[in-house]
Amino acid sequence: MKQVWTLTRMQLGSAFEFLNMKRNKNRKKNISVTTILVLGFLMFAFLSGTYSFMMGTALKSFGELDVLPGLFMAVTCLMILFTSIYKVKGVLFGFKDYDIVMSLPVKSWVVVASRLMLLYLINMVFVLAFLVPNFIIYGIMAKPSPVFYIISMVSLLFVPIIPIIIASILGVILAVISAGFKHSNVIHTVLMFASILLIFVISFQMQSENQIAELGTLIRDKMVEIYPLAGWYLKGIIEYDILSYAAFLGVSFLALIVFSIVVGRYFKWMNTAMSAKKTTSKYHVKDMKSNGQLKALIQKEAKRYFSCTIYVFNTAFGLVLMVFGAIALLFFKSEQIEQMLEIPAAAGMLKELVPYMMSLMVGMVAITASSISLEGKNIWILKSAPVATKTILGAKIIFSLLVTVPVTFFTALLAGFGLKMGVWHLLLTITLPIAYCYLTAVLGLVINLKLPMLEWKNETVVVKQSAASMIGTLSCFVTVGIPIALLFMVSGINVLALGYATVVVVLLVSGLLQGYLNNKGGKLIARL
Amino acid sequence: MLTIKNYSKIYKGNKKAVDNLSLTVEAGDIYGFIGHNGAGKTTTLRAVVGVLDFEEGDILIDGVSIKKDPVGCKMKMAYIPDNPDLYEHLTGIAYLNFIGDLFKVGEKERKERIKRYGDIFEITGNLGDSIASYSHGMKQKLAVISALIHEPKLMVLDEPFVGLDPKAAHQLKQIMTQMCQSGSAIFFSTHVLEVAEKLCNKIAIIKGGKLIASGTTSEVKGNQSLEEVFMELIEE
Repeated sequence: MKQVWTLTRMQLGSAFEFLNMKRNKNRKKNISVTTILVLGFLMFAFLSGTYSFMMGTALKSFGELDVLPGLFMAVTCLMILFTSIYKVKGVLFGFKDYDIVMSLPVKSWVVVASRLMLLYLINMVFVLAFLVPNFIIYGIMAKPSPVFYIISMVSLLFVPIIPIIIASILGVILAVISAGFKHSNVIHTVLMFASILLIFVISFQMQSENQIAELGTLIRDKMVEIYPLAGWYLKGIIEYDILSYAAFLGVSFLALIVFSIVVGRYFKWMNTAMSAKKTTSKYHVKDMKSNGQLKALIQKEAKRYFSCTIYVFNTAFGLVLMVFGAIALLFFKSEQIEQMLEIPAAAGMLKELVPYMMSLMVGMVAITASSISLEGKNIWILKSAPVATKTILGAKIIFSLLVTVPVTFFTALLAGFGLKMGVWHLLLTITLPIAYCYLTAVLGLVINLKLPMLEWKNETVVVKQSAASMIGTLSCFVTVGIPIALLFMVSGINVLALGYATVVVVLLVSGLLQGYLNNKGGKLIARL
Repeated sequence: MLTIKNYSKIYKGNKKAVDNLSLTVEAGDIYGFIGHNGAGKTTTLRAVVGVLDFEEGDILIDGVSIKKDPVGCKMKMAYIPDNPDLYEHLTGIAYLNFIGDLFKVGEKERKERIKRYGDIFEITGNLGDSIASYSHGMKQKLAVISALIHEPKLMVLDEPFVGLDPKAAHQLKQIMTQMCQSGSAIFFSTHVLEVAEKLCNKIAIIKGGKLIASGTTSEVKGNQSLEEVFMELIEE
């Protein structure tokens, strides 16, 4: 176990190096990044607490309050499954320091356990932010005995284990299938999207009941049916059934050990299979087609983007959701959609909300927030090339817009058609999210230039856990959140006027940021 | 071709990595830059090619300051770092094409040079494969070809022979000699003193960020071998 922990500590050190106060020289930047991350954590915990309270109140009125912990456990497990499945390639398998780690005098299962531990600790942050507020709210509402707090807190430590193992198995299968293809990363990305959407559709179907209490009970019952450990967990923490509780802890722990040993046995084979590269060695030099510098850089950005599954997945998921949402508008009535969204204050406002919801999803497409960091050790190529900084940064912004703008435009047309929008509404539905596409691209780039992370061993760390990517996504949420807050808080506000004013402000801010990049981009790149 | 004037580089924490270094590389020179690990060789080479920012001194390429016209200066240069970190998601040919685009190399010349150098380094057949599948030596060969593709006037190389097989190292030395005969210049660092002694017409030795000897190879080494001179100088 000591070896497992030593390896885990080493990986944690490189994954969260940007938070290391001793090693990083820029203390001010470190403190502000840490503050933002802590605030993000607290915000997430606050949201979980608020939802727990809302759900708890509804469930209590139906005498079903005991469903609350089970419901949140189900959501947590699904979220872990969602977010871990695409981390498997890069964290558990195919990691950059594979050669160094495997040459150490430790058994393969120790390496596997340490990699699982890394996935576990990353997920634990989410589990703590999501489940602790839920337990507190349940505690306040149900007034259970103090034993509840002890056993529920202990059980927290075991909740992520099985979902991580299931995600690992699925992740391995997807990666091995795609490894044999020429464009393995593209295949991997497509398979990943397909499986996550499948999980999404199944969980959405589970929610298609009307009453909130029925919904909660249904999700809990389905969860217990599919995942018996959830039943043991609930019996343990609600009914204090020692045997069920011990079974939950024991099976989780045992599964971790068994998985580590089994995967440890085939670890080298699996890594070889997953990192297999198709080679032909039969190339003949053909006629070449030359491109201008900007086009060449944009093409390079595109190839970089589509070569990294987690990069595509993390950034394009918002776009996929947006398109699916728009398609749903064609088949469901707006009242049905409003009911599905479960936002009481939004009743009758779907048409007004659509541009903002689209902007929110576009804000999740923070491609540029990782694009400098992902250059990594290759940054010398761009820095030594005879290309103006404006062109290098311009290519990154243009590529981001090429991904987001056409999809946004198409989605806006679908939404406009589905909701039978008037001309001004449709125009706002097109212009507002597209303005946010531009803001997301320039803001992401500024943030990444200010908070670069070039020394990395794992792309997942850059895309998912780097300060720039997290702050990039968070700041876009904040910028969309402001007009949404105004929409709900200022009664009688002219929705269209607010929308168009937002477009102007967003374009103005984006223009200022673009100006900043044009003037200071060279210096920021030179400092990398 | 290259003039380094009073160049100093201070890293955060006030560590002076290079201290007031001046030297000149002329057209036709193969200029060896030697020193122990951490002496400041890479810091100097990276500043020359515009990868590393610096505050003190100036670096001129063909009489033009790299600070004032970085794009123009870089167009005349090629750089190979000590570790060939290339875009692993690209194929070898896609990478060469990308570099050809950035350096504005014509289609005909590009094809001819890729074929010529690909054959010399025996890597043409692998150019269609992903760089991620290459060995260290193959990546180094690809980095060398990408540096030669635009026929630079000044080549800056950091330990260029590391990872190359003996035949490829021999070919590279020949290419370096031919380039200098046709008026280009080469400034490179190496730890292989025998190579520096045989290949270079000029040599500079750096110790603790300061230039402690520079000039023609015969001036620097006198009647001794370069290894003996180097050992004496760094132990002083």
